[in-house]
Amino acid sequence: MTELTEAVERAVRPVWASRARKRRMRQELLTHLTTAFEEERARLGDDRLALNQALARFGDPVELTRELQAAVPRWERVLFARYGSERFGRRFKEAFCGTGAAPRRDAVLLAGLLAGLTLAMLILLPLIEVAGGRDWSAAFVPWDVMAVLIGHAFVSGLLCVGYIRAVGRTGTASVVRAAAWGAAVVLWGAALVPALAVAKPDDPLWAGLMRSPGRTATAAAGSWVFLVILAVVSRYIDAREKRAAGDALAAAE
Amino acid sequence: MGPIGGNALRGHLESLILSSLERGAAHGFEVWRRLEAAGSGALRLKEGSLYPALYRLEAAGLVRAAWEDGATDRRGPRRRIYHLTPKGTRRLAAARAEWQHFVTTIGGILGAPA
Repeated sequence: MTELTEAVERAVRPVWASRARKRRMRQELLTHLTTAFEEERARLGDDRLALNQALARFGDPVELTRELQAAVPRWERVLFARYGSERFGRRFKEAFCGTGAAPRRDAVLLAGLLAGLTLAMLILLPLIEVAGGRDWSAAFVPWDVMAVLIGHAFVSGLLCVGYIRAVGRTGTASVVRAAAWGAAVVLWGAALVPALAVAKPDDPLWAGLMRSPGRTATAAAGSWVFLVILAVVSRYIDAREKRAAGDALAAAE
Repeated sequence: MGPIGGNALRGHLESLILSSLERGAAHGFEVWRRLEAAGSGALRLKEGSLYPALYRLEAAGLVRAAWEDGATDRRGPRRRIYHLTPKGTRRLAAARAEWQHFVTTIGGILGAPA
């Protein structure tokens, strides 16, 4: 029946997943729904009543979409995301920051992702330089510096997640909390320079920064600008989500 | 007593599915039917929700799934058959122990027989 296929399609189509996974979802859900319909038709003896009963048993397709999406591996969600779609902001945030069911694990995963990206950049950039004719020994980032940068990126990720969550709340206490998280982000950012100086004291880049407090202060001011932008973007996405949820509720009524 | 549904059921759904598969391999509809029968109609489970739970269990290696053999006499689309894995059996035993501990503790506080 077309109605059964439509109900399954409403649940499966919006899911961000590979074609093979969605094909399997469609097939299994349609088989289940068809069996439920046939069972109800045998019991009630009326197609229309049986259809309504089978659909009621099946559940809300929108809720089912969310549950199916949560069952798709994170990397697949990101890979098959429909960029530019209406609910892109929320779904993108869920794909990277998790659904909120396990906030600590989500924060660690996001921080791990940031550390992984840092590692990739530290390998990729020297390779590009070598391809451009530079000597490998000069382009290669030393292991101790690499360890400092990756560790720093990981902790920065955790602090940024804390900051974004604090910014998303309302009330005076949350403002204080957001400011505390923001200060931690900035201080931790500033701590990178002495950490690098300890890892490789002879490097002129951070040795120069250490001797020039003015530049460090400029970098710290820049960090605050970054945090303000982050807060504005985060609040904007939250506001859009709330508006979309309000619209959906109004449409349902 | 009213039906059991929503979060109260969702929190235990995966253990309930493992328990129903302990009786033998089954496709999704059969798993639902077993749960309904075991719950004597008191479970208010949206049937579509069964499949995301099955996918999570499969991803965690607690169940294994394979498409039904095409040579069966049954008409209609193919079904996917779920089997309990040894890891799933161990998880089920742990879930049962946790549940027993929960019931004993909370039952003791509420004064209800555990």
